[in-house]
Amino acid sequence: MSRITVKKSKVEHAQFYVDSCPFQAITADSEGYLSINDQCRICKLCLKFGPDLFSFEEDIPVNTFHQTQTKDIAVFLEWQHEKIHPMSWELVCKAREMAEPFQQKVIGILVGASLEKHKEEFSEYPLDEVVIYDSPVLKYFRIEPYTAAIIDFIEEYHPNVLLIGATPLGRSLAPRVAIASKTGLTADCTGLELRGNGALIQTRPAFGGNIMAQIKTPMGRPQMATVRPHVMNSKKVVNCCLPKIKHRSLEYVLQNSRIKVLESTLKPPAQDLSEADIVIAVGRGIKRPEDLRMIQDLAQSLSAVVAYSRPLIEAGWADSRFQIGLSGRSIQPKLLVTIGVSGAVQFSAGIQGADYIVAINSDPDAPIFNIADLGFVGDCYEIVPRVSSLLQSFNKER
Amino acid sequence: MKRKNHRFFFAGRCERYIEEINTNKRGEEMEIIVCLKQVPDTTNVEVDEKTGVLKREGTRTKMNPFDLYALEWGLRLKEQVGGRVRVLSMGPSQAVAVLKEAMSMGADEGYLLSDRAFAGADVLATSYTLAQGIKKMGSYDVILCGKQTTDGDTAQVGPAVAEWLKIPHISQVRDIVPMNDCFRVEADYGEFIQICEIQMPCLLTIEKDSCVPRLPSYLLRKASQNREVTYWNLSDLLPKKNEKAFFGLDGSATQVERIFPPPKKEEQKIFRGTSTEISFEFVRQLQRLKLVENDEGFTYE
Repeated sequence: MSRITVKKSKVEHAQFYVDSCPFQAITADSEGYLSINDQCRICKLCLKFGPDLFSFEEDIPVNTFHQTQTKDIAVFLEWQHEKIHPMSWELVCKAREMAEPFQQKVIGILVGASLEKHKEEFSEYPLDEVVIYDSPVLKYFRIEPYTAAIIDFIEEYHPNVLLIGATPLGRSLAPRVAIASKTGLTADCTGLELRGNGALIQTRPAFGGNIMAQIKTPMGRPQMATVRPHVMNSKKVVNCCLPKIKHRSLEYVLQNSRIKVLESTLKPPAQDLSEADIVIAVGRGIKRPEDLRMIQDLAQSLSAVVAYSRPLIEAGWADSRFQIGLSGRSIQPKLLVTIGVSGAVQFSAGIQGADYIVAINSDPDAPIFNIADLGFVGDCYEIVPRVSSLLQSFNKER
Repeated sequence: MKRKNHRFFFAGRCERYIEEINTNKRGEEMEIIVCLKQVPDTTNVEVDEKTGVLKREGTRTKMNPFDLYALEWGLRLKEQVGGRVRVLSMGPSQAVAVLKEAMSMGADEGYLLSDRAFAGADVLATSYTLAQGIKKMGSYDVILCGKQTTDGDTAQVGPAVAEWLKIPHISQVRDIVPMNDCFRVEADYGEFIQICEIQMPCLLTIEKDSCVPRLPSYLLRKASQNREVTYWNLSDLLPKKNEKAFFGLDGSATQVERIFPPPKKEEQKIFRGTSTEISFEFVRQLQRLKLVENDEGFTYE
């Protein structure tokens, strides 16, 4: 078994090493002898103290796949309620960007029912090939038939990379496919990079967004990642020829499911955070729910959508669809105005995609000013109504 | 049909009609397993940019808050149809605390999978280890998991366990009604909601806020204080011969290549002034960004 061991066990300043371990896995006795306990998670941070002290003993695992046999990038095109999820096109465009330098193909996988009408859409995005599983059985998302379809695809095409959107559906489907293929899966990636040797370098926030981790999958193929929505850019292409379309027969796809869908209903539409150009985010600086009125006035004069930080959502001031942050949504507006948001990392994890961030906060030391492009130190209760009236008078003048 | 609509609009409500509960009575007791994880009490971790060392405050841990909802649903199912709730966790020996906490809320038995060989596990190895533990625990009707954890944040281990066990699963469930040989569940897929019937045995991951978790009871805590938790280590969970095992770092398919602090933006500006000055500067910036149309006649004071 792979593990970290202490070599020279007696050290000076033992407490320093004890403190350096984030998992409290290093312990020292009164004489300064170090040892490692079962808390060790092999984060390898202690290895930087040098091989005289800590060393990593590794069992060299046997590679169980043939790297050379896998090529191309596959993208799961999420289809539900007669629509292909816009997230899928973000993945296709990112896949194309990665595939281009290595002359690899981008293959879409579409699973659903009555899919003929989507052919037009394929030509707008840079796909080389689309593999379609079309059957009434697949009308509603049920885990077993959907997994079976993707597994069938993997066995037929041996893709090097398989990307799935980190939507609720994708996060349910991806782990089953990964385990069935005995391969790795990195959740909720915010960055992807393909190296010359075919290795996919996956970047994702860890520890609540305080740290970014780069993860690779040396041990399994396809290299699977779910990708956070709205992080990658999707761009339609013009004059693109229709990709090759291939229908896979259902022979291979499990038709039995132990799940019966009784009904599937779209949630009532709300003005969508993800598509808004201007978002106003409010946080705990707003004291009472009644005060949201002035924010809504400002939002109206800017045609902005109002979003909320987690404490306000938890207090029940708004629907959780309007929560941004690590446990809410990531947004990528042209302008984000934060009002009374302190800017805890959980929040800022959701706003990295914003082009320009303006922050209003009365506390000059609030962490939001570290990420904002422009910070205003002041009382939002005074500033917001003034801005609204300025904008309104301005609109009237026109 | 009428009732179904009612359920849709009052989604996540825990109240049940008495007759509904009665019709759900099964002949046999229900075996419920709830998976729990111990997580750090804070996500307040920073990386020292020079040394690359994680700076982590405090050593306090707690039960993953998402798991509380899974445990609550488990206990409610037990109360509705009878049976027992067993809780399972994987982690260092300290993780026994979450099992004890679950027992003081009403869980019947606790199982802890603990071994240094389990450390450094990714989704593949974690779910494999849990699945091996569940297989050893014997038969079950339903496995409940929290939707995600606050430290790993992947929301993937639950479905992955279901795949190892080859049982169906539904993620982000916000309502469960036990029927004769299946559950009627309502799952929240973000943009749409599915109401499904899923046959037992199955795995469900529970949406947060789908119920109000109960508080630990003092009496139960006292009663469970001396109850033993079953510890299993590597040798207990080894698969049959000729089968490949996926434990810990060695069984993981992914590797962390490096960690680094999130990028900061350059060229920040902080503007100070009176509220009026700030308001004017704000509007001026909006115009500069072409988010408000520029008007020559508009003057600043």
